[in-house]
Amino acid sequence: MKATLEAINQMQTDGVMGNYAIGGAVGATFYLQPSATLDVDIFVTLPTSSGGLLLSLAPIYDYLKARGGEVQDEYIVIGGWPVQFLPPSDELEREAVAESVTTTVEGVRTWVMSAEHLVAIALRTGRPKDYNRILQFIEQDAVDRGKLQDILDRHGLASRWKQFEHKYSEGLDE
Amino acid sequence: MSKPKMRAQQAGLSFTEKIKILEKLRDRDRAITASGLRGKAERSANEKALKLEQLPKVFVDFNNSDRQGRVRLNCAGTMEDLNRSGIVLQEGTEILLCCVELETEGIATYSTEEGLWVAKVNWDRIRSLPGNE
Repeated sequence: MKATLEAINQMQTDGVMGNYAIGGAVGATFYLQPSATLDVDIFVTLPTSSGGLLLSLAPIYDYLKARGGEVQDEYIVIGGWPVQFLPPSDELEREAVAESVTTTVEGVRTWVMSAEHLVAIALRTGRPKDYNRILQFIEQDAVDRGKLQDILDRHGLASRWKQFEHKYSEGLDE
Repeated sequence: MSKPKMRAQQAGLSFTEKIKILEKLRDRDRAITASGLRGKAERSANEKALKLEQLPKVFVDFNNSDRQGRVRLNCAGTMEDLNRSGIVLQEGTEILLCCVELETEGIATYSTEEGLWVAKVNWDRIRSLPGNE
């Protein structure tokens, strides 16, 4: 992972991409016990190209391919990890990148989404594995419930959270 | 150590230590995939599921059991299902026993004590039917 993050940080330094934050299972691992995952989700802001409104991941892929990165479907393998670069698709994800927390892996600086943003995004994504992850956050008391509620309210997820609470009330009451 | 304690202990590791664990889990997963063991396990699970689908499904009342805990195959619903599927019970016939909420596999045997067909219930594999979890 060290080599992966070094390559990503170098891309940032070289201006190929803007700020980034690790999300998904690897991001959740920052707060929870490690759970197996095969890839790394990097939410990344992209510099807007002059004259165009469309944001493209092509500069990232071109940059990494030129440095030995291997493309596999939607991933590009860097330092042994398949990495998926995801431009934020809405305000919630943009905020998650902007408000990410800094940490280090083997001395390499990196950024991880806050626990509350990870939970909000998992709730919105809504697959069984996302719900399971939310329950882990709750069970391990890894989220600030006030901050989470604020995010849910601001991003139109409050009613979905109520449904989730209703469905899994036993786990949330513990 | 209890599972919650173990989870809490692992959650308290540094991000670097956790990433090392993720890398080990990833490498193990890749090794399993490369060995073909996962394919074998999946094939075995598929074969098991196929076998279950092929078993004749018979309604039973799990409360209607004899002294040995074998479910009696003498309910009206049981008889209807057996007649409908054309199954003639024999010693060792495998059937899928189900009620409104539960199902499991069973093996038919004749109870000489009561003079009727019963099924040995596989209680280890009893499961809720969809919608009844």
